[in-house]
Amino acid sequence: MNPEYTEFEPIRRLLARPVAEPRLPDFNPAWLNQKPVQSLTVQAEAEIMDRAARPAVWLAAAAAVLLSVGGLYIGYRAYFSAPAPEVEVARAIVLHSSSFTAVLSEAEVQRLRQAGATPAEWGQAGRALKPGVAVSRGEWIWTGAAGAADLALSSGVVVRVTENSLLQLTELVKSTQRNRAERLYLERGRALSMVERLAPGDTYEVRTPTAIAGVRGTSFRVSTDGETSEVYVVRGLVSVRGLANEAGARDVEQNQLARVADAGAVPEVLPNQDEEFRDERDLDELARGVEGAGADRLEEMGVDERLLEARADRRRSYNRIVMKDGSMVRGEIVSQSGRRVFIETEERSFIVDASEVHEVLFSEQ
Amino acid sequence: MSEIEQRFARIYEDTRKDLYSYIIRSMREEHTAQDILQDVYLNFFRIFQQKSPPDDRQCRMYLFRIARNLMINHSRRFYIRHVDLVEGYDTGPAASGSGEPAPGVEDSVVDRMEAEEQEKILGELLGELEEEHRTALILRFQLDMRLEDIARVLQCSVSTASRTLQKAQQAVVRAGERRGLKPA
Repeated sequence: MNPEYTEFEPIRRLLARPVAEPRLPDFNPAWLNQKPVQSLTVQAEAEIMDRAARPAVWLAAAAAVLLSVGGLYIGYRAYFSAPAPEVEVARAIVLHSSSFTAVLSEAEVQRLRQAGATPAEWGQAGRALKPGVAVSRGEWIWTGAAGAADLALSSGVVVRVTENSLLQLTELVKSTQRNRAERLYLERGRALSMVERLAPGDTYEVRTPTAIAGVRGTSFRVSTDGETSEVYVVRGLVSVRGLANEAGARDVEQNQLARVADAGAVPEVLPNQDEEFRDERDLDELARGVEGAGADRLEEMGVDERLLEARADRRRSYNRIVMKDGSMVRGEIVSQSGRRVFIETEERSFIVDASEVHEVLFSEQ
Repeated sequence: MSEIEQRFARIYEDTRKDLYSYIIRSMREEHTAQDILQDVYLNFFRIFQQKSPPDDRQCRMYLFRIARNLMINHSRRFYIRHVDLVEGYDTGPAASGSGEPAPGVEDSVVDRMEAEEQEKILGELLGELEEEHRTALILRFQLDMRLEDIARVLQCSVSTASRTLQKAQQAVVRAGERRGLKPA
């Protein structure tokens, strides 16, 4: 305490003034059976009641020291006696998803294929695809009618998987040279890749049963029905080739569509495709525009009402994210990995550096 | 009332005003403060329903710790009110008095305006502080808590509580200076 701190005196006087109090109710024994709206977590309760086992802290500290020493020794031995591991497994984070989506293991996909499962059975299998869920290498993303999901890969690539798609995260690795190699396999459906910043040496490609599209610094959409594959380039340059035709690669430019008829074919490049794909780019806006329309109208337009309801619910809970440049985003921070903050807004999902965020004003819903 | 109910009733009567003062100064919004106050007691009752509550001083400290935890959580996520503990509470000026005799009408209006303005400024200054600093100032200068008790609420040593309080004073003075406030 600092009694000589005279500058504080006026504030001390203000603080000492009594607070206007409402008429607080008398004690009611019924409260003993009432559940709080906001309950303490088990951990918080233990901390508040001083039940956190202090001996355990010391034991944990001792264990940490032992592990560190052991780890250093093992690390030393490993460094001098064995080659470093070649890759480090990374994971993808779900930024945004609608209903009719699921994450499936390889075994589940095999089982569903063999059983000739219906779309409903595909949707019920596996685990729910929700914002913040991590998807591991080898796992599959399934989307049904009106289903969609956005995923962020560790390289910063954002992938939007649209309806009726089946996509596997074939490779999600970081090599010892710190380069990332990410490869997706689109068995059917559509996947739009937004590749904003790929570090030098990093590779990103999307394969289909018949074609390969590999890129850097671009956005493109791959679609396949299992035989014919199409790659539409929204922005940048993409190299496309048939899966079995390494010599037949062709560069596809912005607003062009490459069509690969089969694995051995040379891609056919069609220019000026913007009109054809405009609807897809505006899919979200279209869905918002018809919000409030009757169920029949929605069905007629191919928009699922439940998707719109989920979207409206989400919008009501959005927070305001104030950026340091003065701009403001209405959305939700769905995940944070190091300095990278994954934000979902009504229109899109994107990544910003944590240092760019000034403050988050939480929703009072 | 059973024995435990009588004990809870006494704890509630002894602590509710101080707890409310702490919460309203921290949250600056009456309905939110009442919601949190309600949850503080409901959590406390839930914890000690099956076992005997400790002595009064310890209970008071637990209640302040619970309030602190709930307020921190509240700031992190939005809060939905389901239960209304303060039924029929009137937020109008008549209900806000502290029980003192009513002054003349003109004096009352001027005084009220001044008081409201000062309360608003104080709220803004406290709002700029870190939660730990704000809590330390309120407990010490509003509720007149001893340093030892402040340390128990903040779950730190007495010397740390003392340093926290000192830093809090400096921080709130700096916040005042940024707003052009000078010592009287």
